[in-house]
Amino acid sequence: MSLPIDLTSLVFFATSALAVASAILVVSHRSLVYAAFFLDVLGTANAVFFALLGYPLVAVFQLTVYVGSAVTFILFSVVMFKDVPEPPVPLKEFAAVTIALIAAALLVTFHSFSGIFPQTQAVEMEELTRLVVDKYWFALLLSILSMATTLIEAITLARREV
Amino acid sequence: MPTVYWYLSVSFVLAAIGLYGLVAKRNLIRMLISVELVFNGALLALLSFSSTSAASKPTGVVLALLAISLAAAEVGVVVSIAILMFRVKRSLDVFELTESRG
Repeated sequence: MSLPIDLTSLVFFATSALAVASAILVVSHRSLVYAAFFLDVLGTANAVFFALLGYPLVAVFQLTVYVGSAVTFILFSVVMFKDVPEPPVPLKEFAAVTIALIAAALLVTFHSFSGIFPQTQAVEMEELTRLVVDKYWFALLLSILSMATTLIEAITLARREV
Repeated sequence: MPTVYWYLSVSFVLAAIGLYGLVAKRNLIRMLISVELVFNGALLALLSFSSTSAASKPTGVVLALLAISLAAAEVGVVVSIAILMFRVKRSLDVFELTESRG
């Protein structure tokens, strides 16, 4: 007996529901700690999407670097701040309608992709390394430099040396 | 199996929710978290577009790895700015930052 829906679709739709629900909770939850926690859940859901699209390396990198360090860093940092009630921002409803219209316009614009299935075969590590070293070495160098400078900047700001 | 359009739809929804959070909130950390939502949506869109052909997949991987690294660095900087702001102003309301103009 075959299942009415294949496993990839099942995982995709379950993860989509989880991702959208987490995104709504990130924006709407009153507590900053819970908002950061739901961002963690969203990052994990995104890693599942990457794996489904055939990017296992990016999925693992997303889990270790992004979810494992960046979002956890936010989660631990918000503990240091006192939760204060936020005054309302004017024109919130207008912003919501505008952004919903922009999202709808994007969905209509890219409707031509509805018949295209993703190529799910994984990229060879050897090919990837060659590409980084031969073609994207300057981008890699710049990102290393920017990460080093942002680290110094973060330490300087946190130690209040400015 | 879901098509590329399904992945793009999820990415647009995530980016739209993040944009709304960016506009509707005035707490610096909450704005940072909303920007991270937009980043996650954009990254998913990048990899979805990249997966449409086998030839563009390696480039998509490299760009995604660089983007994730830079997003992690950006989080460190913004959180340290928030810590400094909280020490000085005892608040994270970005509307109070306008008083810092020279």
